[in-house]
Amino acid sequence: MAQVLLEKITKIYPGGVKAVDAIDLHIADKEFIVLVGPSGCGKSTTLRMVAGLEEITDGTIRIGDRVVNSVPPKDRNIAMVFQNYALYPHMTVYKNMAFGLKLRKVPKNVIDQRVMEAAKILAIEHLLDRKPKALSGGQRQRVAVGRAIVREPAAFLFDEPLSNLDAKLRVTTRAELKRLHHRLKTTTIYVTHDQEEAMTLGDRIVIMKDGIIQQADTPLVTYQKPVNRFVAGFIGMPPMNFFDGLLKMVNGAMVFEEGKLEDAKVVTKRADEPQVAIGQVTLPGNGFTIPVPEQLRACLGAKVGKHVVLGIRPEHLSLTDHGGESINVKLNVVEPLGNDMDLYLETVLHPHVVARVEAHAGLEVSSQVKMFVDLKKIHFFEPGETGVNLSLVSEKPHAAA
Amino acid sequence: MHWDPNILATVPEKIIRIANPFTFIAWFTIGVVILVAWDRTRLKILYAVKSLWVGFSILAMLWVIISSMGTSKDFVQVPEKALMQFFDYHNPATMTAMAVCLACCGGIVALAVMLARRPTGGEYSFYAGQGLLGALGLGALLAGAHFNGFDHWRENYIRAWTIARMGDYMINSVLISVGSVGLITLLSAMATYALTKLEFPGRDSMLYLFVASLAIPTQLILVPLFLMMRNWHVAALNFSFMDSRFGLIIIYAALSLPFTIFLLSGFFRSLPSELGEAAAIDGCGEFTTFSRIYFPLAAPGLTTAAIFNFIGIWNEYNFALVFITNPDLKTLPVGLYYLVVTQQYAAEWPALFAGIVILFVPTFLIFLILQRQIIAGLTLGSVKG
Repeated sequence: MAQVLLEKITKIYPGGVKAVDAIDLHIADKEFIVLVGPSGCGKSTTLRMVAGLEEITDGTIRIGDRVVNSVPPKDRNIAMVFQNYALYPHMTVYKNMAFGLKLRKVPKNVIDQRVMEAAKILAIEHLLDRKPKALSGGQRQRVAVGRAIVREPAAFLFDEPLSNLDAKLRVTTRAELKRLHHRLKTTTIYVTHDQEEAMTLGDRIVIMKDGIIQQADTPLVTYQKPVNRFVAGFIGMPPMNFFDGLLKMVNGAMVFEEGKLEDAKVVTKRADEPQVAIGQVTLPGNGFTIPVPEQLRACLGAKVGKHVVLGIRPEHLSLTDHGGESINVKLNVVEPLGNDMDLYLETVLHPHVVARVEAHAGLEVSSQVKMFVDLKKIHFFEPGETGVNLSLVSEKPHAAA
Repeated sequence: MHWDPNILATVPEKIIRIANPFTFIAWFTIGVVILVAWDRTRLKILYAVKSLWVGFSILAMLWVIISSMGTSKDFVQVPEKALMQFFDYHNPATMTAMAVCLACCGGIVALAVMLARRPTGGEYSFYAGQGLLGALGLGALLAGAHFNGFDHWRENYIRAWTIARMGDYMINSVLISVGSVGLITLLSAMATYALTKLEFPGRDSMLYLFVASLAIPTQLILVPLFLMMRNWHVAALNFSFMDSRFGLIIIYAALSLPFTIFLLSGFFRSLPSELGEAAAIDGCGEFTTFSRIYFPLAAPGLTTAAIFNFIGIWNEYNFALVFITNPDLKTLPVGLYYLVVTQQYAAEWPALFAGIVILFVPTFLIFLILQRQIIAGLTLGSVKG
């Protein structure tokens, strides 16, 4: 058991590709941390550097109190579970699990005891004499986990261990991994590209993009207070809807108007737009307009007349009025999910808007509907893929959900 | 061989009449035609032709075996007499036996193809070859009951084994072949592991260099190598490449490395790198990763490589001739040639044929026993293991 410290870790591959860019990460003892991000974001490379399978270009890695930069993998006291399980095909399940201990010259009775114990935890006692070829995917996965836990290492490293399992098995194994972590309390670093897996497993999740950590926090915080547009779009399923537009003052009140920024113009005559002060920027389009809620006005003050991106999660759009603003949309597709359903909508300017609402009968496809926006839960971002979440600049906490 | 020909004498005349060599060929052709008609693809025709070819080479082999059991006089007077007696037109028993056997042969080939749901090329050729071989061998045994020429096999083989020293040469051949195959397998497995699984600068160019050296004919380097090795020796170990079994082993190993590394590299690449990574984390160093993980996993590929090398080295003639001059250290192929040279005027043909059979039997047995392994090994690495 140990903490793992990454300080300014950088990986540059031959050829100059920067896979990981000076990341800092402090993983506490007994913590379950999940690295998540799209493919090519550097999450696997980071894990492999911790494992010692990949050389570190710059920075230091500490496991416990020891700098392990140049320590070979076998001496780092870690165990890893691979995506393809990487079980030794020529060894039985028992030998697969005992291999690491045998190489460390652990006495035979201790090996036996530990393997049996791990097999019991994972319910694979009846498989110990089989070769990996004779196991199903789920069983192989358990053996791979068993091989890791018999070693009793300082840290577990998981490299997308569930991605080769079918959907149902993935969910059950996910829960088992969580239970296992509660039981063993070993520091765990887990890599996945699946945000749902990350949310359910991690004590903290680390969202990465292009070799940079975007946000590292508890699942709930990354969901409620995403630091930027990328995190907001990555965490949560279906992803957040984003609308480009402009903040402007209408009759002294701050509003967001959806529209294309190329069309922006400055109001020069009173007649152009009576509510908007002369000298202000406005959009002549026919996008929707919603008022900016009170608690956000302070932090958005400097952005009036500028391009911002509005983010609304699908679950914060609803068909029933809870006292929010509404926007008019066209209903394209209804996807019933049982308790909930996903509505695929279209605004005048935005062809792909998703809403998750309670299951509802009698919705007519291709009709116009009114969607109510939960104004307490909307976000405003700077434009750009990783635009900063402007709503967080304020010290005032978000309305708790 | 105790087999009463009178049993066959009771076979009706009609059946005997259709049993002549032309009928055998007809039977076989019918079998082949059935095959082709069964699945009219070019591939099947190709394999039919291939099995005929296999049949021809087996007939030649059969002729050598039969000749090794007769007398020199028989052979010199009528070289094809052995075969003629084998196909004795006038002996109804022999003829019937042969007819049955060859008909069986065609049948076996046809059956094999029909039964195997999806015979691969290799399987098909082997079924065909085995069918033919089995049938002919059976025929030879049956016919042998009536061929008094076979009576001399014992003296012929004893002469070849002792007087022509085939026994001694056999020991040399076994030592040299087994030694060099062992050395090649070990060295090439290690080299291939390094060239495919480890990362170091110049790795790929080194692999290409090995592959490129396949293009150099060994005959080309024979003379320069001889001139280099002639005067080179380690006095302290009393070692020289000349007239030394161990020297020849090293030369063979060096010559076979490029081919073996080339053969194995595809196979090693097909073994997942994650296994090595898992082993590294489990506590293996480079060498233990190789010896405990990749070496056992490469066993099928290594076996194939070992068999190919064994057959090549067992039959190797040029280098054995040039580097070994001491008659005590000669290998079988060279010894066989000396048998021809020394008996130029003595005309001990049956003993020579006995020598050929002695030379040929080990490789043949290896092929028979390990054929599946060889075919499997050749396609290994092409599909995900």
